[in-house]
Amino acid sequence: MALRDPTEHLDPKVRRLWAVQDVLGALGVGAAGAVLLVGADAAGADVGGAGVALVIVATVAALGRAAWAPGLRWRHHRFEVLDEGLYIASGWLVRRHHLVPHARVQTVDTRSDPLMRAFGLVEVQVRTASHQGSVTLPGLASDVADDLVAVLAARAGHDQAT
Amino acid sequence: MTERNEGMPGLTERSEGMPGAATLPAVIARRRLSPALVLVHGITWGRRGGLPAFVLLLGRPLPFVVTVLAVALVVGVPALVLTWQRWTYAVGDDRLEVRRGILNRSVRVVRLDRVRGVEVNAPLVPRLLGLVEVQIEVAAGGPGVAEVRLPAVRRDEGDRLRAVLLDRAPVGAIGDGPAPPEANAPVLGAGDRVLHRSRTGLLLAGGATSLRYVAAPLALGVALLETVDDLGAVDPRDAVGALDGVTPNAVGVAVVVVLAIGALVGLGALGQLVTDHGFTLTDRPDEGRLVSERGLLTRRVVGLDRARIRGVDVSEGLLRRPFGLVHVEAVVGGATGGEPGRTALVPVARAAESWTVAEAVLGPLPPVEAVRRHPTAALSRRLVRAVVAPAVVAAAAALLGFPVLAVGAAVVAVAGIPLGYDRWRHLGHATDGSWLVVHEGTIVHRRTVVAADAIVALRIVSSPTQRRAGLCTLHADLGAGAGTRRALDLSEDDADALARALLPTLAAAL
Repeated sequence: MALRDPTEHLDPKVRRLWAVQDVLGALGVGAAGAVLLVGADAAGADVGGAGVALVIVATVAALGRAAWAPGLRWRHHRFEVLDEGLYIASGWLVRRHHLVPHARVQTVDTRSDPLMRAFGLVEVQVRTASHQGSVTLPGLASDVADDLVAVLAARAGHDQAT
Repeated sequence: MTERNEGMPGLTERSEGMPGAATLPAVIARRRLSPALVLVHGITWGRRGGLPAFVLLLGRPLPFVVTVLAVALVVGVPALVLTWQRWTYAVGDDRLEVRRGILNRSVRVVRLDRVRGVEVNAPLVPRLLGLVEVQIEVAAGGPGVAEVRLPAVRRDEGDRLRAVLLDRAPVGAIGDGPAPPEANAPVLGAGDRVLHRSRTGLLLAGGATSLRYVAAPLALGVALLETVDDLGAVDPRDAVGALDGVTPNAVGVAVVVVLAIGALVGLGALGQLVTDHGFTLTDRPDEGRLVSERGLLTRRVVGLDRARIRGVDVSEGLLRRPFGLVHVEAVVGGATGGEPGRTALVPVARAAESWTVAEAVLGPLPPVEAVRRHPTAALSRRLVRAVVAPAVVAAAAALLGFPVLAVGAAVVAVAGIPLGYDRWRHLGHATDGSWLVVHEGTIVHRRTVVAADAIVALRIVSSPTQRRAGLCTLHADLGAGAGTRRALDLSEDDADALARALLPTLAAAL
């Protein structure tokens, strides 16, 4: 019997946040490539058309990712608070399903950077004694996140967490 | 917010000026380490500083050399003496206190209930002086913070510290009684039980087949060539060229090869004997721990809380397989002396005997027959992994005109077929609800058993190619430094079944 997917989605606004982050990343790739080309040129190396083409292709590929990856990520990144634990699915290429019993949760943190705050989003990090067993919910509306943190804190048992 | 972080519990460290510390009730009154610390540390410093100093001073004028050495002595000796003088420890009813430092003074206070383990080691230099090194592991985050070291105490004092620090409850019972008569061997208390004792013959056989030194001749050869190259004395190509005149003598070559193999096998056997000679694993139910002791030159004593044992890894190397020899390590949460997350339970023994030891430590385990093999779809994945990449390299090299590389890559690709098959054949998993068993590995076949209730989180991961084949990989995260164990390339249905068996109440909702 296959495990069903979790029910809850992240906040839909997170797609725009990811798109902005991806565009910024693409611009970074382009800028870094340009600096490299100019530097190589100044140092007297023959850059040639291939180098320029490579930088352009890399930048366009990164921009393309910004166009369609956020939607896919959002579709596959889901979560659900069960009675006994937290169930999270993520990843559209490599898919991951995490099962974290409440009793094993050590800390629940929220964090946000200025860009995330501009979208009214926060990130919730659920940490366990294992680094790899820790999970992140990267884009929740702050009131939803507060509720989630309260629920997880209440459920986190008083058993041994490690 | 659930602030249940276990970092840094019960351990405080502060600089000088700690009020009330002098009134620590004394189970062991404040005292210094052995004065021989000066010698032990001096030798360590000399060993560490000796080579750089030698390089630095080589070829300098004699007066300069003498001045530098004199300054080193004038600064070093008082520093050593002060180090010894300022390094004190005391044990109270509930805590251990260690003060040290000349310029940067520190006072470390460790609550005894946070002491996770005490190792009494006898490295060569302290051992010759009748001393031991005591390492106290503390439940605290971060490397270096997790350990308190007392590098030179008398053997009987080391054993007493171990007893006092670990045996919290009956503190009164450990008074100033006489030291154990045979201080070299841990005294067996009532109820103590030896679970495993190594046999020298098996250690030698295991060492010879350990594969540990297979890479050594390669590394040695490379190092030699580099050295020669660095010195600029001989161009290695000339050296090879010089061999041109020598007629290859088949018998001579064979003799050299046989000697080299013999030397490697001997080295392996000797290495195993040096580390594991007289290995003894003792169960001490009163203390709730296992104690292992081993070593020919340096005796290592490792105490292991049963509560920290999450499972075992049973490994069977390629050369050991024909002899049915395996070695067993405990999967451990929290810092330990050796490799993070693992500590040896059986260095080398026959498989059946090792399994008996594992069951004595963990309790009844799922039998080997319960292990489910992974589907044939996993075989194609293993073969593709092992064969395709080198085959592509071989084809590319052949096209581009590098015949040697092409042949080499082709050989690797062909070798990948049996390796990939072997890797698949050994894949497997089993569970009985209390234990998760996973099999993986090709050169070294490994069987891992971990307790279901040690699992902090489960992850089921599938890549696009795995999904096409109906496969996935299940990771069980153990936490607290014990790492992660996985079942590789099992069918999706089997992964679901495992998740439901290991986290039944949680997965019931799905």
